[in-house]
Amino acid sequence: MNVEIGKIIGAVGIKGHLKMAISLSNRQNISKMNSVFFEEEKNLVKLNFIREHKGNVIISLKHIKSRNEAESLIGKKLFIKRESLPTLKEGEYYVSDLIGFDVINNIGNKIGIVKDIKNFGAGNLFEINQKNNKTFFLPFNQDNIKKIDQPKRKIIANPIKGIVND
Amino acid sequence: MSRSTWKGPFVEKTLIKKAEKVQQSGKREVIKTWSRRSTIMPDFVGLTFGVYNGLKFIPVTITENMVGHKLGEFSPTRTFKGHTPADKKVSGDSVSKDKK
Repeated sequence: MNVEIGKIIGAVGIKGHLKMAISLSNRQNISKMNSVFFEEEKNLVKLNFIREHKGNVIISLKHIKSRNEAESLIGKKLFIKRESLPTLKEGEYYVSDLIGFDVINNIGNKIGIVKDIKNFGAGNLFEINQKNNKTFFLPFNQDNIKKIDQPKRKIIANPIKGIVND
Repeated sequence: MSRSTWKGPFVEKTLIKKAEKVQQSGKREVIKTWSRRSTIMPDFVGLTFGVYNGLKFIPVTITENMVGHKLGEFSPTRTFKGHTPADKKVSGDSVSKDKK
């Protein structure tokens, strides 16, 4: 599985440096990611983190040596292999892993699909997309979530009364 | 200007009644409310409120550190348009641990 880490938004200087809009919780984490690849290409490319710049990062890629080459990459998205993310403790999950999971109730009926995970200050909430395209929020706590089965990509939930019908 | 202390915190009377009813029955139930202005009382800890944000009811499970805040603070009325970081982590223990 591939995880998107950012998008090339500009060229910097004449040596082929790239400006990248990053989608990592900490921008400095990009320095730990040495090998990345573009969406359509499967070859891994060596990435060097140069510096931060106004909320974005400046990077260089091993095979990009000129500004013209750098400009041709604008708009492209960079990915990493899911395996290269650090391993988490038990009970912790990456949001990108949980999106798309089926949510099943105790009886075995499908309630919906995980669309996103939000936090409005009162704990994490699964945003569940129902068949009728309506969404509802399901708190991510032991009262509502019984089990997360990652290999089968499903969440077994026991929502408290009044959550699902909203 | 802040609210006079002699008045005590504001909580909608109907909300207190609903909360008492659920606590007495011991049922697992969401208490739907439109009263975003109500202060969270210590009695509400452990209950789940569905706080209306103008579109839908956002479930808010009350923990000890929410006491004194307003219910509306946990149910935003505007949509946040942004990207979720690729390495964002979540765990389901945070809320449950607080309740113990």
